[in-house]
Amino acid sequence: MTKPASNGHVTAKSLGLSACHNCKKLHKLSEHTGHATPCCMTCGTELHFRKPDSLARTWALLITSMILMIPANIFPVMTVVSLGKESSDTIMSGVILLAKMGMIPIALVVFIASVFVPVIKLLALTLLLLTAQNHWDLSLRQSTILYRMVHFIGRWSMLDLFVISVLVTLVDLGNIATITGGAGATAFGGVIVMTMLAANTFDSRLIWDKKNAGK
Amino acid sequence: MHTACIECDCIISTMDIAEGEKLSCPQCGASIRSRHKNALEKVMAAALAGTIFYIPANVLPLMTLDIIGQTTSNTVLSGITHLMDQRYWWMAFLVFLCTMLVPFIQIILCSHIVFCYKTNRPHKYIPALLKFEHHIKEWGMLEVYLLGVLVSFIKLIGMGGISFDIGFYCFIGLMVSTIVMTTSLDHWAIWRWWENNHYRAVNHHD
Ligand SMILES: [Zn+2]
Ligand SMILES: [Zn+2]
Repeated sequence: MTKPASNGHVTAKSLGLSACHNCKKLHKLSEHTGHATPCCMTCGTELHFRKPDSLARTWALLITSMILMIPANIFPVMTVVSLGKESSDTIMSGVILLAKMGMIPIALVVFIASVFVPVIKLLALTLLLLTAQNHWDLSLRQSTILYRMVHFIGRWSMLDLFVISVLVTLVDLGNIATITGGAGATAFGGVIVMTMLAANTFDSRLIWDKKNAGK
Repeated sequence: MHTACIECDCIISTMDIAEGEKLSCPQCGASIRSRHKNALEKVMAAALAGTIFYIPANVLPLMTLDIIGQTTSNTVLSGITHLMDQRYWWMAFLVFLCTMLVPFIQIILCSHIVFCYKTNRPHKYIPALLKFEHHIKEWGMLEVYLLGVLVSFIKLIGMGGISFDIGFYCFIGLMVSTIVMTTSLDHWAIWRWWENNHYRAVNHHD
């Protein structure tokens, strides 16, 4: 077996090896195995050097979430009926309302979770996909940070849905005040699920391949 | 040569680390393995605590709101049923999945996996459990829900008297338990244990 050079790092693929995604066991995998997909001896997971059709699948999920962003932002996420007066809020108008009421920190939290994070996530995934596809010279350090961030922050966008779930239950006082959900929140839930799936189908090793090949 | 980094495919030459140590990828810095001190005991204790907290956290009131003498309170469960009453099935499903279903499955899986590991029973279905635990992990969002409760609390301060209830503290208990449980579980050690014992069992048969 080749020892990693002191300066560089050896990839498993360059040695014809593939680590099982579930149990992390290394397997010898020849490039042409015919029709049958080799499976991990330990846990039975299919083995690939890289996730199959990673770019196409991630693009599909990403474009779906971009389309869902439109209804998520134009339809109301919540309707408040208070003493006969009805007011509907979209994600953005809800944030503005909070800021106007002087709740700046909470407006900031909601803004980050429901506007900033989804938009950044969509942009970051697009950038990562383009980088992997066109072999762009984005710094590896930046790409890695971007990818980790996409993984780490995605779940926090669920905040708005949870807030709606709490508010519709708590503010259920008949004529005095009632809060109901809205179609925008349904679409927003779709955006979060799609971007989380997209982050999973994206194979970050594709970004490193370029560096490891170009030595 | 033990494994390759899942994020950059760099060969990781050794996975042997001492208790309490963490191993990161030398090329990209991804976390490869972390061994907590007394990991098994931590998982078992956290699974037990999670089991105790699970039902109170979901059915006891989290907050009580008082507007002009009328009071309402909410639970995790009623948050889901209210969305269902309003026919927001998809939202109800997401909240149910992330706050009730996934933590429940995680507690069951983790406690069963460490029980089998501790008593050395390499059942055939252990890989399926480990894989499932690994895949659903990111859909457990108790800490995000907690932030949602806090945001709602602050939003409602202006509307009337609002206070936290017993369910809120149980919920924090459940959240801490699941976080400790899932981060302490050492997948690498359990996979290798299962592998060795499973192969031994197979060879014994031949
Ligand atoms: Zn495997
Ligand atoms: Zn790495």
